[in-house]
Amino acid sequence: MKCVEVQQLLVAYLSGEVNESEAALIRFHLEHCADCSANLAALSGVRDRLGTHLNARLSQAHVPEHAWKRISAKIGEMNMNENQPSMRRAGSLRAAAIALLALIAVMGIILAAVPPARAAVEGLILTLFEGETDSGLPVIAASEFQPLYPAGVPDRILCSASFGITSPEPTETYLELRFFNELEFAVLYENLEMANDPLPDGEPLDVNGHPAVLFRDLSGTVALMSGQPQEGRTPTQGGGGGGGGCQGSEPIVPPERLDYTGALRLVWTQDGMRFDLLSNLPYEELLALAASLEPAQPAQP
Amino acid sequence: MDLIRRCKAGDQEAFAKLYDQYKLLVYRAANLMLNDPQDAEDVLQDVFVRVYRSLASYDRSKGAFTTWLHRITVNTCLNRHRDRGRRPRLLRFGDIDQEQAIRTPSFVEGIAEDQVLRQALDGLSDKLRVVVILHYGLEMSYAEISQVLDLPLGTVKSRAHEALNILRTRLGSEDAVLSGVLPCGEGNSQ
Repeated sequence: MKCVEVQQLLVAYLSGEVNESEAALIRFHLEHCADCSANLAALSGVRDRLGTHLNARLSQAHVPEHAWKRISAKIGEMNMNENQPSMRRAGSLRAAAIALLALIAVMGIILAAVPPARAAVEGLILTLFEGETDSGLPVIAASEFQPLYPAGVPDRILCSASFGITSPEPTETYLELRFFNELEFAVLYENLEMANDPLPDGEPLDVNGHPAVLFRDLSGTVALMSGQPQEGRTPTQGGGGGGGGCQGSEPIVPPERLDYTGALRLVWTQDGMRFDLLSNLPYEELLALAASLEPAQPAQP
Repeated sequence: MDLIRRCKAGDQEAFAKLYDQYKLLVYRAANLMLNDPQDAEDVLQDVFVRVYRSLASYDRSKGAFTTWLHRITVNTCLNRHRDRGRRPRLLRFGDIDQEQAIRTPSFVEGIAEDQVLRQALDGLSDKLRVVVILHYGLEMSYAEISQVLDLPLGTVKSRAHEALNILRTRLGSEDAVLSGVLPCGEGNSQ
């Protein structure tokens, strides 16, 4: 191993983060190289000082006694006016309706390369439903509706997305996210108030530990730009949006509609919400997408 | 039924226990990242409120609960740091009990060392400082950091390498400036 290679691995070596063969080569090199040995000693000194400093700060950090009171008060505030989930949601949605005073119908399009697209979709959820950013869009912050982000959307359909959100009355709030390229698509529908509705009859399946039903070999047309699907049931109920498509990792001009055959539809209830997923992705990718739902996170710098 | 499952079922008492079990983990990480006890307390609140709201979506098959919790903590800290548009506050000498400092002169040396290291850490970019704090402060392996930050293992490795080498350079120059104050150590001839 040459000095330049050893230097690149010294920090990892100090932390025990190199494999056995690398460690043996580094040890052998250090026995014969005074410069690299000196570098190792210097880095080791910095690491030790850093460790001592951070450990001292950790040992001085004590959680304030009153912290739990603040947290439990905040949670109590969130849970106010409710004894059970459905009552909480209905109450909150009534509050949302009063606050908004009008039907909400938000729609839009996100076209971006893959990492920004992911951040944009998560940012959209945070903006609209948690009011965490200031984008000028209306905020449905009074609602308990916390849509989840499908982290498992394949990159090849992630760079173009459209969305529709409609809250025509207090009992109907939903988010529909559509990801697509020229050939493939996934439409994810999330609805708060359908959580207690019975699942339709279909092939039983398990999604995230929840009962689900699967429908195979569906055909029809899915609206990507606006309007409603022609054939085959997709969960669209209104709203609308724009669209795009991926070509490699770059967004391209979207088709208005996409004809499909052999699509799959998965319906399940999770986290107090009904999810309905229609896609012509392969079966395994559909399941992976369904299993990937998680709270939207702010983009990292 | 385990604690997390009970929390998911809406058991408030279980959530209080969950808080007791993990509060120190969150608070310490926030304290190291933000360098401010008040900010750390605010982050503690934000993180547990967020956990309360989204625990139902936590899927243990996708990773350990502590990994999920650390990810929320790191993101909340970075968000807070970015929103305030400032670097973490440095410890002021006025924050130290002066009487104690007089009684124990070695404490002064400790303050100088503390200041030097805080400044060196604060001089790192967010992406490097986070890796340093998680690895050298919270003693996470590169693989654990990779999971928490959702980064490739190689990226964590290269960031750790870059960060420690930057700190080596900066601490070397700080030592030269403060060589009359610091205790004996690497690069210090006193």
